[in-house]
Amino acid sequence: MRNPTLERPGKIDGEPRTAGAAAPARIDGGADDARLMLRFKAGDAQAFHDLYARHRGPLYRYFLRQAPRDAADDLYQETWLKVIRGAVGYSAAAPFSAYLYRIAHNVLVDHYRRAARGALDTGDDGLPDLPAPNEPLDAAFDRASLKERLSAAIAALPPPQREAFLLREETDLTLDEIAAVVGATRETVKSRLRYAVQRLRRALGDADEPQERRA
Amino acid sequence: MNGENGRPGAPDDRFPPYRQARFDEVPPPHVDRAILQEAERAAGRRRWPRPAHLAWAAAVVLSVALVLEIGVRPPATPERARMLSEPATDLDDAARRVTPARASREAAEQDGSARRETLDRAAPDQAAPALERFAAPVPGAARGSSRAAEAASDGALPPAVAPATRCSDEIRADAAAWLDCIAELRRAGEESAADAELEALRRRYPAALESGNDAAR
Repeated sequence: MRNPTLERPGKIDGEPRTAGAAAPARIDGGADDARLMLRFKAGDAQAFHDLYARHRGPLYRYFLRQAPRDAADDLYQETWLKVIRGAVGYSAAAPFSAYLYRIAHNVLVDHYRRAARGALDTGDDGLPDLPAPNEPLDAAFDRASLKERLSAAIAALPPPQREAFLLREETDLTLDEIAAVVGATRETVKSRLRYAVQRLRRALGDADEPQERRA
Repeated sequence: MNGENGRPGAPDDRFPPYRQARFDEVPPPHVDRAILQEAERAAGRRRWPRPAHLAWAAAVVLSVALVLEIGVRPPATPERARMLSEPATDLDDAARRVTPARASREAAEQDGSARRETLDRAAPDQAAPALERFAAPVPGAARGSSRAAEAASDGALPPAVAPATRCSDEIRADAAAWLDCIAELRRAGEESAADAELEALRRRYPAALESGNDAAR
């Protein structure tokens, strides 16, 4: 199985640049997203292309961290097809991100039900992560090591905590919007996030963990 | 890790190791292609009316035309039935057997005074009442269209009532509502009207339409 990280040639124009950035892709401009979706609804295919470029990476990683790679591909595609087919009924009442991840959450829940499985295989195929261009080898090694340990730690989280954490890290959703996406209260989401971070810090051997626990 | 307002953006808002790891996986190219192709197909379906829509529109137009045709035809009177059953003897008899509706249609091709003279010659006893009846408002015109009533009084067929093919000024005040309206027009098969509205939208809200692309870049 191929590592999607190695398949960068298929880059979509307009995708937020993540390589070399200090943070994963951030999605801004919810109003713009809604406008693009309305234009697509009116028959403008280019608007969908722009919208897709904005959200493809974060949404794909949302699934990739929660399902095996083959399943993640299918779930990712299924989510976008639902967005495309549901565009006629779309209204800009809620941010597009919330709309998109609500669909993604439902697709994921359906997948869990179908699979009826507990521990999730995140599809790590063991291939080494290639260093970014011009990145020192030792830094690349550290980053690859961190990535590997963090991936394993995220995969070991309970699914609700893992989903809340990924929504927080990969999207621009607020706590209230995450709560709406996963069908929980804001306080529940905050609690899930707190426990998720505690577990991840513990797994990574982070020295800040006691502080977090006290907080 | 999270601010109370819940909106990310602050430096300590996210989990730092996750940022340091720089997860950047993207979907495989074949998945991208499949999704974008489906989106283009869907957009194309919305832009152009489906054959089923065309068939539906044609059926509606034919039905309206049929109703109007039946509405302007005179009732079958016993006298008219007798005339139709008589064998033709010469050209004058044939001229007399011209039905009032047919006479009216012929008369509609000429101006008012010439039409009345022609009818008087063709069927002096029947042309006048037939013309009076023809001049009465037809069912389609009785729905409040004064133009249709005027057309009927002139002896011409009333035009079909045109559907609303443009967005109202109230809708145009809001770009999002306007786009909704355009989408409705496309679904209704009003392609040229939708294109015209989209062009008007571009003129009125150029920044609104272009900002999406700018942000994407």
